[in-house]
Amino acid sequence: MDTPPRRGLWNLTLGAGAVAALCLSGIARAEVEVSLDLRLVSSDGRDSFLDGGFGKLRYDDADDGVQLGRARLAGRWALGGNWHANIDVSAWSLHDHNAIDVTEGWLEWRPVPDSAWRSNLKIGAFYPPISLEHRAPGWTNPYTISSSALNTWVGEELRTIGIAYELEHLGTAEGGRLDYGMQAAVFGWNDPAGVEVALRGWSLNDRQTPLFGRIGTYAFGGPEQRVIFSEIDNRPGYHASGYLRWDNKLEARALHYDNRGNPEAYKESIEDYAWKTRFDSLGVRYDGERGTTFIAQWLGGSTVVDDDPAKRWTFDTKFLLIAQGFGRHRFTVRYDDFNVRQTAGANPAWFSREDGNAWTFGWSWAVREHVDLAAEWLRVDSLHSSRAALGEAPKAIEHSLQLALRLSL
Amino acid sequence: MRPVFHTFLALFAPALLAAPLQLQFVGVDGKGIAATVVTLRSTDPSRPVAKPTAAVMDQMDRQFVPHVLVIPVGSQVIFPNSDTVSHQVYSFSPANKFQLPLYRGKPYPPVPFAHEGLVTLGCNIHDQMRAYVYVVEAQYYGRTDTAGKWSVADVEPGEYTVNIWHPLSRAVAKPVLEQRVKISASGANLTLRATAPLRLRSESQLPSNWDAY
Repeated sequence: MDTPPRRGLWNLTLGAGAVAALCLSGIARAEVEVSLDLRLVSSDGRDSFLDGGFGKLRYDDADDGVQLGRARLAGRWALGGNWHANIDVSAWSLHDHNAIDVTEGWLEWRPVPDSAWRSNLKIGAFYPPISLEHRAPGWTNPYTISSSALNTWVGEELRTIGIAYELEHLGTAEGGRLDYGMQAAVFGWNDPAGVEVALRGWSLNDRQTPLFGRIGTYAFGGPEQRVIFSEIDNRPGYHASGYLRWDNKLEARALHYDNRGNPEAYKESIEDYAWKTRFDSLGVRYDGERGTTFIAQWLGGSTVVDDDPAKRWTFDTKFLLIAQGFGRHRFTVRYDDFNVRQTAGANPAWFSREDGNAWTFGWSWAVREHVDLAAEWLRVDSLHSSRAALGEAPKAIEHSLQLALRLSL
Repeated sequence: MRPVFHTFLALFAPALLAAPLQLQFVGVDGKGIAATVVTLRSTDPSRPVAKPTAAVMDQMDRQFVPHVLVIPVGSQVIFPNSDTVSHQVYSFSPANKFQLPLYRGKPYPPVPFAHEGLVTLGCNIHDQMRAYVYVVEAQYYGRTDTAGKWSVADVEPGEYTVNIWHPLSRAVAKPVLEQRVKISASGANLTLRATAPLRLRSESQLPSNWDAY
């Protein structure tokens, strides 16, 4: 029971890879993006969640110095017949489960509209349309180095591995002011989604969990690292979403997600249950005429595991971001608020309750073509009850200062 | 004698008959309105309209440049792509329905714009890319400057219909003003006033690396 879905995921990716390889051989036109993000880090963070701690940051106080933020290779191919293939491959750290891994890979049918109505169909592995921050290639955040707690979680635990259909009405293409669209998606291989936010809590960072990769380390023993993209209960999940965009300036998005996990299902090979995770998200984004951007997003939901009422968590987060561009420079301020509650709990190792907030100040400078610089100061104030079990004070105030040099081809 | 006479007319008639036109378009508050599209069309249907031209609509930093292009009927527009990413240009406006399949680098041959009207351009990959091509059938056309002014050095005297459009008006395809004017042999200095507040949309500035593909 365990292996077929895993094999299915591999087959899906290998299929996409084969198509990509065919295209690479010159059958279709290719478009390749290569980028390198190098960091200079100074952090006083607690042991990072990547090292088995309850620290909120990607880089903790043992990571000061030069770090690899991300090395990325992406390709797009026009296959003809309005089909396109996309693949995004990244290296995040030399210590990852796979040194190089895929974050997204999909085929897309995107016909050119001959009226205001336009359809598109995506098949493969891609992000659900939640983030209003990630608008640069490779699901990159152009505002701050570390993303909001909300969208960090999207990058860590969510990926639509399946099929999504979107119908849009492009009023602005016929001289109007309103565009809107609706999307429905059916997916698998996302059953562990919810485990990180429930047990570890929220985080603010820029690392995306690769499709075949791992995230974090168990704070209380167990396997070395956790698998996020796996099918455990053989039950597909879905999400449904919609957007409104006014004058290319004001955009509102809403999404409902339900992985329809069967919390009794357990998979031996990854030592994890199907986490029954549901949430709603809302977001508004405004881009003003003088380079001002406002983003506000909220996400709230719940997850249940092991079909045990005690093992049910609710989670909620929101943030407000304000950015102002001045020519090639952009300054950003963001405030995040987040919490996780276990509705009932007896075992302190499982019991978790978290409350926190964060301030992020970012600056980015498009130095010249192919070269960008970014800096960020981040302060996360959080209380996580499980820290006590590690002999730490439950409350932590962590800071990090990062400078990023981003080179792209 | 006749050819000689015609040559004489051709050489001197414009100078004799042409008059300078200065026009300012102002809002209800009396302030000049910039970036409006102005056309001047003779009420005499037998007069020839402006000749077609060759124009360029570039794509830079995931935006069309310029945002608004005004061309006479029959003109050809080439669509270079100065970005490193591919674009897929389309329009389904009745005045010109066309598409340029995904491309970068070498542009497609120029696209003819054979019909009068507003053509809204889009990119199927980058939805934030919007631009307008006003295809005009008129003797004179142009855009107002920052003070709302537009001038022509040598308008042939006569009666004209002035049309004023604004690409940021709430109904971009409709003129915000349409008015008959007379231009005498000594020229004209016209101030045209909007009949109602324009309430223009503002344009957002999106990050140049925005990519919602």
